[in-house]
Amino acid sequence: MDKHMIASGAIVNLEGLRRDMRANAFEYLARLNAGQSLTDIALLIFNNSTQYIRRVEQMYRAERVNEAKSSLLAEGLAVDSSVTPAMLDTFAAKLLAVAQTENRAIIKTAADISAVAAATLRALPFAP
Amino acid sequence: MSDIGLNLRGTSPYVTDPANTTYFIPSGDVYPVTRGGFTFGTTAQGSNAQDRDRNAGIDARLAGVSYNGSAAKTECELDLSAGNYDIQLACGDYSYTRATIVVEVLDNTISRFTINGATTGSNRWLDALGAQHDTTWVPSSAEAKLNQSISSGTLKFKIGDGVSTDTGYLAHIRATTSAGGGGTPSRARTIFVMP
Repeated sequence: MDKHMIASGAIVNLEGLRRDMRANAFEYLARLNAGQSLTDIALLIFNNSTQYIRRVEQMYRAERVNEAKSSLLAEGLAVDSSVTPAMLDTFAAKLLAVAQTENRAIIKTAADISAVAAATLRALPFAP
Repeated sequence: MSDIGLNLRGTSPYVTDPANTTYFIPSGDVYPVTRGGFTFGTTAQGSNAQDRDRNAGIDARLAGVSYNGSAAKTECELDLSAGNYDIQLACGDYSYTRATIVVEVLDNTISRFTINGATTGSNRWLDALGAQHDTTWVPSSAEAKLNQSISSGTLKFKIGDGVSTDTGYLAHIRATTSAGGGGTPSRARTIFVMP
């Protein structure tokens, strides 16, 4: 596979996931304000965060599955941007950590939902 | 148990999505997008994919529509667990007077069924069995469903026939885990609806 495609694909996938995580955090607050049930919103948070974890593991790590691809990724990034493979690793690890925090959250009250959403938005600022 | 409905429309805040459904804007939601507890998105689209908000005063699942303004198909993907699902559709348009419906549902690459026909006027929608409804319709989990095996875990659907302009017209698609039935048909089923 072309090194530029691997590099740009990895960046696009991770950035797309970050946008989804932020957008969904806002949606939890909107659903809360709209009066939707805590059970429904808690299930939505769990299901979304399960998908985040799956995406990080499948999309990002698949790009790094062997040395050849890893080498191409590094080369592509070096050519195309100032982003390094180490920066991508850090980015992926951060997304994964936030997703796992959401996934393990114990949600019993509206305040719990607000806290989960706020923590995600705080951890993933609009302009990283 | 999985239960997810995608409401196709032009903009996200146009209406409030009911529980177990979320909005889907095919021209902008390129796969993968995670929303509503599932990952889905558009994997291919023509040069003139059209997503529209139509009427916020009717059932939110029928409030918008997606169709192709060019001779192309919009191809979409929804990630599920492998299994049997009840598939429900709402195909039509609140505004357009005679929507040409072409929507194909696939188990990854294997075609399961196609709705091929037209509505008799505006404010009309075809369900997954080809029956026509008007704006009084409230799509429910109990009606108009086709039980299908999605053994790949990847539900795909294509909007438009790829030949003519202004075809497709999908407003809502829903997949709900089913205990049994489904199976693998020997060939894809096409439901022709003559207006």
